[in-house]
Amino acid sequence: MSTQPRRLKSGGRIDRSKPISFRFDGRSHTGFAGDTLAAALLANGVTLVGRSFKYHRPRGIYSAGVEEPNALVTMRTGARHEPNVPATKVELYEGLEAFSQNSWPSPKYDVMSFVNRFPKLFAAGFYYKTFVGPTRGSWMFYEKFIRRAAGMGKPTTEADPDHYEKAHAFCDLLVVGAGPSGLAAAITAGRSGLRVILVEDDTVLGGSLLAAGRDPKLADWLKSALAELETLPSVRVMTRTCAFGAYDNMTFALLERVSDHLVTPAPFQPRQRMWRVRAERAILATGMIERPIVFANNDLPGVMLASAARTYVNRHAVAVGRKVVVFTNNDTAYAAACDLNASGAEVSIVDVRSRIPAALQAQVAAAGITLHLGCAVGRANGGRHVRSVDVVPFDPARPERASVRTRLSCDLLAVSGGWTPTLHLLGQRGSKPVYDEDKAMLVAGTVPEGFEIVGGAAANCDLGFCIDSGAKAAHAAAAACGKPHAVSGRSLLEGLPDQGDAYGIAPVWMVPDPLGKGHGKKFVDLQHDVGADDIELAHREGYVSVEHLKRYTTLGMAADQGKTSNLNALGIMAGIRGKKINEVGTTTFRPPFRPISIGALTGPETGLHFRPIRRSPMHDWHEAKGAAITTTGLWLRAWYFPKPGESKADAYVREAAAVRKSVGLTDVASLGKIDIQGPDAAEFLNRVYVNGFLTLPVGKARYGVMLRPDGIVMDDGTTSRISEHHYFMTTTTAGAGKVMSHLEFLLQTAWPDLRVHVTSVTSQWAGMAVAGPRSRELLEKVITDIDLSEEGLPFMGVRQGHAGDIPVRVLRISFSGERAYEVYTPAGYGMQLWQTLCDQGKSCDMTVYGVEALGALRIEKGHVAGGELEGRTTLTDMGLGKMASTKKPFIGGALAQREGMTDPLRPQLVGLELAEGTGTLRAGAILCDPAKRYARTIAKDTSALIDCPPNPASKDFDAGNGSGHMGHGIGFVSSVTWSPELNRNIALGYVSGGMARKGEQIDAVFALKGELTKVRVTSPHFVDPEGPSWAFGCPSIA
Amino acid sequence: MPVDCLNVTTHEDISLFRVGPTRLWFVSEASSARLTDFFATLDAKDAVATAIGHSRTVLRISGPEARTVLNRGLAIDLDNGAFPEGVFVQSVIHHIPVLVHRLPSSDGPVFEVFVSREYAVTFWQWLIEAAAPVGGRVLEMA
Amino acid sequence: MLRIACPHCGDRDYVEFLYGGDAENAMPELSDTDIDRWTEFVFFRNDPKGEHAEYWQHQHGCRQWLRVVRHTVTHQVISVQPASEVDTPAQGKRVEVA
Repeated sequence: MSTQPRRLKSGGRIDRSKPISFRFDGRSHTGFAGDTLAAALLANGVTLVGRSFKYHRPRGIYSAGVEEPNALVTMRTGARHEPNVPATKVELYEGLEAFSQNSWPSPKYDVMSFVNRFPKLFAAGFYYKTFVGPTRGSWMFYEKFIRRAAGMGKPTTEADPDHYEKAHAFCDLLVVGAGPSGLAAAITAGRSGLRVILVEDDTVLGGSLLAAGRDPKLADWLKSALAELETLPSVRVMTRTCAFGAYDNMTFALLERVSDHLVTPAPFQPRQRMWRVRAERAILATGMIERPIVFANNDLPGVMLASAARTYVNRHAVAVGRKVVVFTNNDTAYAAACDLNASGAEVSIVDVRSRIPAALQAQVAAAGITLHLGCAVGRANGGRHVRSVDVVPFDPARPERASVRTRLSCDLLAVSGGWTPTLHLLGQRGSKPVYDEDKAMLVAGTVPEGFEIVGGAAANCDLGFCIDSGAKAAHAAAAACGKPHAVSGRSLLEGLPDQGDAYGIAPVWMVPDPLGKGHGKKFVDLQHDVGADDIELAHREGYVSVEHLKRYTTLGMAADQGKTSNLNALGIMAGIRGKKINEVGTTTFRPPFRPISIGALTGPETGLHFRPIRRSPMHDWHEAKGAAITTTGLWLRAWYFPKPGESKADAYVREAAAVRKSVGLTDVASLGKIDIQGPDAAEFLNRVYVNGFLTLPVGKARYGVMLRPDGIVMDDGTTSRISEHHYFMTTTTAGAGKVMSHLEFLLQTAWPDLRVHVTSVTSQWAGMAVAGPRSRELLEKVITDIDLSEEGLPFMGVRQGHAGDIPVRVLRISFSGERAYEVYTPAGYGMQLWQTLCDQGKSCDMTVYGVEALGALRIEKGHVAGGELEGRTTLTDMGLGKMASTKKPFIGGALAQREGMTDPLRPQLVGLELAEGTGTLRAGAILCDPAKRYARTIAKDTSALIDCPPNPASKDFDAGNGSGHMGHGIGFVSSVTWSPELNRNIALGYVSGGMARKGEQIDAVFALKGELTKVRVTSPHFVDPEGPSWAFGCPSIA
Repeated sequence: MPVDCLNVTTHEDISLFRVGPTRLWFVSEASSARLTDFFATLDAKDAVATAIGHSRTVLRISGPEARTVLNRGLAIDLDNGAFPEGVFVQSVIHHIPVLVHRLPSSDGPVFEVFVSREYAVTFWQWLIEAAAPVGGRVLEMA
Repeated sequence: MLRIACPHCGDRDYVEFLYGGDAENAMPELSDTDIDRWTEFVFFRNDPKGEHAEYWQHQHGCRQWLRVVRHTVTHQVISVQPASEVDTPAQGKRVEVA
């Protein structure tokens, strides 16, 4: 086996001292460091790399860059398996494993290629037309086959073993692209002392210079440019980095491929890193991308862009073809032809123009290249590789079908239809390109403020222009950043070779089928298998606007975003419509410029880091005791504390019973806490709460409810008066941030004259609740200097003092019905106080309890919490209507009086239990009137809900769902628990009619699981209903 | 009184951060009787004081890669010119609100990061993961 | 990416801010019980293709509420002021319903 049969003996920018072994489709090959996977495959004579998307046609390597439409491979195996990677952008590394896609069993013998025999059946949009009328229902049957047949590579389902990073960067100037223009810009800016970030997608700097021939002057220029870059400390060079997005306010997103070129990332290194860069100015030195000409069978392996052929010969020393035909309409392909010729290939040129510059003619003659002027390639021939081309006479001014003049045999057809500046980042900023008739390319329209385009991106590939424009743009950027004076250096224009700056072109988009040769598929978008026929079809069916054309045919919507097809498509559509290209218009470019991984977009924000977790000061204690942990919003909370062998139910029942019988301790550190101070603090509280706070005495606390401005209940909590102008407010855990912003909003936008300051002190205070008949007994052992007697600390009183050396604030308040206290201490003392309570608690039969028990206890008492305060309920709905003051206005008061808010039929808070002792109660179940069962159905013709006689036996009847209930019902279940105290399932809910339905049996329907449960309406206060008046003292916990 | 919101003013052992147009943080390493006395004299009509000393955890990050690590999550320009010694910002790192203060130092950049206490563990985990690729290692866990 | 120049803190990324909705109109007096005026303040919004006054709070910064005028098409931020320093018209523009 001769390794690398197509590798030239010398030349190229590869490192022959570093051979690299890799595998493709299970076969081993060798390449060299500096190769891309595509180059190494070509060096090994592998030209068939997959099958096309829809028609399963054989496909090969088409380009040498990011514009690659065909050579999409699957990289790696196992958890790092990654489909749809362009082989032209894969840096070859030792141990690389890659696989072809979309063919089975192999690209050579692909079973699905039969599709290719029926192209008309699978034309653009075929599924819109196939599954209509009588076949409509069969779509669901065929969909899974079509889905399996469609698509390219398959993703893995294993977890990604790598991690990804995000980073932020700031600079004065961002230079995108490190070809000659970008290098000139970066060097010039660096000399001025600007902070520059130079971004280059390739592994090495140089851009177009890397594909150029071996002119020593070019090599020297590049070498000294790179050397100077090293000496400029303010220039950060980022290779293997793609600037994929340009956003508002000169923000840019970059993707750095930190470890893509390694089998596994080095220890601690991420696989990829996404940067967000903020720049003052940006210079786009993004060059141009070549496009082909469209003709029959232009997708055969062995057909590639002329510049790609040149790159493979010059940069990678690969003899991509031994017998080459170059098909072109412009001058730039001649350099490719000559370089291919110099590599030892036999070359012919087919040029649509009948006249070319004399210099080119001489060059070609000197090299012994055959020239066919005034001709075009009408058709490529071959099975799995191009074998020959049919040449027809052709006049670009009057493209007509003609008979084949000659057939040229070849193993490489290098096509050049012209070039298009790469302006995607400008397009993302809303700048629409404009078609330049002379150059036959889309050039930049308006350039947004802060941007400059240089070199090829500015529609001129002349090397002198590239370097000069880069330097000039950098000077302008430096001036704009206040640094107009550059340290002088050698002129970047020195030492450049003389280059012809020719770019003559005769625009041609497509060559019609040769006469007598039948119809051949002429591909425009290779990746999505969209041909010229599909564009004509779209036009016939009325999809003539460029936006419709794109979406109907899917042209330009593949991973390559139509980089080689957009302008050809526009040209063809313009031709069909008889319009100019500028009249046809262009679609909008959107980020990313090339596909980026979701991992990079996620960065570290995955798993436990998806949201930032908040922990109580006592969290470690809970974990050490083996508590099960749950979350409330961002907070981790102890759920229940199972003893060995206990289930969740065992644990929380035991915990709740302990609170009712003796004393329990629970962590409430997650409650929102807000410090409110100022001479107008009482007035402020009076305006935000529904109940009055002006007369709250010092040393007392009051339960308060806040409404949203629209009258819906927003949050509840307890506010204590610490001193004359000092209040301490608690909120629900989930509502803390919302309430804080709400209070600040009111103070700053509506009432700036109120002298009040609000400060979040959620983190400042650790909070714990001590609840149960023996709670006072326990506190008396721990608190040293507060009188905890009935007179000393009455119900709803608040006192400050100490537990030993620890300062504490004690509030006598309860959510579970028993005597209870909330004890606050500065967070740093939290653990110590908790431990002291646990130690002293041993002699009081104290039990630590979690949020499951907490929930059960408060539901038993009928106290509203998160499930009831869910953003749709009013004060009256939850039975707290009497709390609202009639003596003073408050936020939400006006809109709470709207008809719909005071409608007596609104669902009201009730308790619920199982009517027959069996069944499942679920929060979120819809409550329904049993009399209305089967009383409604869905009308067959309009799908509207209509009343009907309850007759499930009728054959016209459609019950819709198994419960027999349809529509919104009369209420819903808001919270459920299995009550430790009562030994049965109970729930809280809202039902129209409220307590007027006490004793009634109604239906609870949980449509997601098709359950119907019979429930009975009871009082929401299941336990101790005669206990102390909770209407004004029942805060919620959540 | 600090004039520019970003500057930190230090009087003996107390640093003042103007965290809002009408809000000042008084920060000192040890609890200061001087501060407590001063706050006791405040008239609510002019100013009020709230103790938040337990609400924050403070981390100190220094070394040649300190900026690199912080910029993994902090969208603030930490370059010498943009963020000199004695300056602070309030911002967010990895969805966690922080205050970052650059301390005077003769030996490379030193940053103090104030994080709300309940986020301390999450922030620490982010920090050591962000520092690992540039060679950061946890030396000791007390 | 949206950046807002907070008057106190400087130019910052949108991640530090909390959006607070339309800022065209001032809240009615609390003593005003007129349901129509409150409905208009709470629910009715103009949706201009152009300059729009809106509230943003510098949530992870100085916690000031700011009145920002932003162009809804270009996203350009045209002006930023502390909300407490702005005199917002009391009744504001009635929404035109076609």
